[in-house]
Amino acid sequence: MEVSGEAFVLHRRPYRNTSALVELLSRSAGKVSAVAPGARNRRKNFSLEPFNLLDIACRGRGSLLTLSRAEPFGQYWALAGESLYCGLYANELLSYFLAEGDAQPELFDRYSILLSDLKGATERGDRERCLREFELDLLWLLGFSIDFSQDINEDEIVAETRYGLRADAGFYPLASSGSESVSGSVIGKLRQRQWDEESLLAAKRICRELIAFHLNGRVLHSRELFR
Amino acid sequence: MTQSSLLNELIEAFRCLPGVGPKSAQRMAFHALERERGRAKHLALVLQQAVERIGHCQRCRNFTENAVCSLCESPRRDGSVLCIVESPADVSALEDATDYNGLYFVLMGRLSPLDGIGPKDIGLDQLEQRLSDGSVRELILATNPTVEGEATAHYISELAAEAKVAVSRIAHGVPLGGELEYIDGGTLSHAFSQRLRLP
Repeated sequence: MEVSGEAFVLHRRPYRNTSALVELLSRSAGKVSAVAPGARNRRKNFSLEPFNLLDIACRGRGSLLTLSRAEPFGQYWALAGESLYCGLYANELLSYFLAEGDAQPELFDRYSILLSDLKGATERGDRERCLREFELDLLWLLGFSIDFSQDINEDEIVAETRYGLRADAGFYPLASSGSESVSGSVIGKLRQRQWDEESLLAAKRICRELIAFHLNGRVLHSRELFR
Repeated sequence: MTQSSLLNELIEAFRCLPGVGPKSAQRMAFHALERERGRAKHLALVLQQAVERIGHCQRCRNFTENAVCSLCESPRRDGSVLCIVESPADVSALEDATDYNGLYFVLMGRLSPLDGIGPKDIGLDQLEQRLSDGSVRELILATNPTVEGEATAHYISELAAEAKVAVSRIAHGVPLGGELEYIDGGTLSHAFSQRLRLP
């Protein structure tokens, strides 16, 4: 197998004495793992940090490839503070949700947009919005999303009705309004990506539930960083 | 291979050390047996004692065979300044290179969500407690300038802000004797944006 072109490093861990094991999100082949020989050598080190757009080339047999080239495209990571946590969270999501070698060019582009959005996000609210949109797009692109225009009975979502959520199926109408319920008007806002305090909070809860369902019990450790 | 099984076992055992491949492991084993039996015995003894007795300092988490390490106990160190590093090797490096006179706190790692390493795994609950008791006046963050090191530094700076402790981050820049032309763009852009005004 041969993979080349644009890629981001999702994670890097030490491997043997001087090498590193990198998990890459490539445009052409999705998530791939590769050994980067000599990557812990000081001069080669920097370019393999997460959040840099790289021009890579790697090849090999089986699922573990060898990285032969990784040159930055110029822009260097400038995520700092809480934006950095958000980036790590996105990387953790991608690392868990993507299967090795499954090309997702749209998701790749979506991730690049997230990174540049996070670089510009200075307020907590901006970062929340960036993450929620990314989560919704990620779920949709991977086929894990639910219908925001119809409930599970294929009836249209009505603004005045309260709905409950089944992560594997979608929204269902509720007779009474419990604390876990969400109103049809908020669901409408989510469909149109209209963000205000209420819709951001609802999106957070809904994404959390959908993600937890599809993670099959695995824990996202980057959430511990947010205080 | 017609070597005895104990010899093979010895060679295999040497390979647990970093940078030791099968060839060097074999050379070490033969050398120990042919020329240095006495010192090899000493090595075995010290190694066993070290592995059994050396634990972590209660205050800074560095390696020590005592409850509190000699550096933390020294009356000559300034206990109001605390430098946060990732590993014991970093303590040695800073001790050799700088005239720093405060104390250290060794994380024994860094925050790394994808490896499942969270704040508690690197002793940040212990650090938070120490910051809250009021003895620390200044915190110096000397974690590595990697994404994970930066995330760790930011997390600790938040703890420091809550405890109202002054906090600084070590500078990153062009290495002494280096030439700009050969320096990677990331370091250079960082060095440029964090440039110092000359007095």
